[in-house]
Amino acid sequence: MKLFRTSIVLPLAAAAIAITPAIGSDIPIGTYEGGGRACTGRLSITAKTLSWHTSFSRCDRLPYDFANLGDNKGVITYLFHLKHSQPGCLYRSVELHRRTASDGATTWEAVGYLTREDQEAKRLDQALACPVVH
Amino acid sequence: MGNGLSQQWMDTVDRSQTDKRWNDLDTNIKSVVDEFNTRLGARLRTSGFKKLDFRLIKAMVWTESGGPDSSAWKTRPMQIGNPGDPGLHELLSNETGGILTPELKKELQKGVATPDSNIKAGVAFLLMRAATFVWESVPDPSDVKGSVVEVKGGDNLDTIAKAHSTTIEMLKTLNPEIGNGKLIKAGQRLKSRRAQIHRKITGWVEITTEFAARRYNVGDPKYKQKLDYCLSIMPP
Repeated sequence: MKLFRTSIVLPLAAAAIAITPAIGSDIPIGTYEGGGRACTGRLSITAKTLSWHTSFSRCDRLPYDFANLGDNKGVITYLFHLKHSQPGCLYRSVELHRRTASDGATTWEAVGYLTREDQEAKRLDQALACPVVH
Repeated sequence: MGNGLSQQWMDTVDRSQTDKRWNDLDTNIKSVVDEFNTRLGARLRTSGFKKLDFRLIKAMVWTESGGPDSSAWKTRPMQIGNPGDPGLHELLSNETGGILTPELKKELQKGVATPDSNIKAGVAFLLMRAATFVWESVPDPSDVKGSVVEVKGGDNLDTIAKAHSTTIEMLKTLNPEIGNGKLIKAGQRLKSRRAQIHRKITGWVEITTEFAARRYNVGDPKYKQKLDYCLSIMPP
């Protein structure tokens, strides 16, 4: 996995991270490719913006608030709240899931929620869930 | 392997060889495929309907969802009906020539974010894409006797058809003397019978991996190769 750390790990910084462990740490910079009926396209994450092109939605270089929601049963969830809407972009929150299997194999999934409320409630029936390769 | 697929994608699908959960939707898929094959096979035999292959639909589920660890596997394993996808609207707002029963249409209108409903919608959409249709005037079975209509000044076949819940084709069939562009006159008496225009299936394109890639998939250039790869590692 390509990780981008926003701060040099120093004792002082580590203390700060301990207070706010999620925000701004370990942003999974890179590109993730999806395919199929709904997911054909690419999720591109830079240090400052997120672009996600899929079959029926197009989000271009949108700034985000980032949080690492941590590891739950082998799945790390990275959360991107997009700072503003954009014509043609259906999603306001994007989760990127990194799953590590017991044999060490890693798979990725991108999930787009229409609203922040949908993301908070994990309303998958209102979301696009795409397997992606990194 | 020379198929242009990414190693990570193939490694993921290869897990189906050891992880039995990749077969967890088999019962759902088989049930849906059997239901369509039985119903359409009986009703539409004359249109050349060929039975759907369960393995092809399973390959589509694997390709679309990415397998049992994914969220899509538990919600929309055939990835139809996602936000912005016009496919479901196309399926539910058009006449399908009998591919959807009224009951199934009602069920899908409630939502397609469960594996069972999503597989039903995905298979129905695939079938709709594979069917060739014509529009046909169908008499209303409840109106056996029909009626006689007197033409008034300013009438034409279209206004008469609309006013009497029938079709121009039905009027021409019942009144051969008005066919071939001949004019109707005020005071003329025409036979009429209630009828509607319906979409009828006249033929089918064979559903192959190439067809699914072209008509179900939206833009994935490797879709056929993915389906072929799934089929190559799937038990017969």
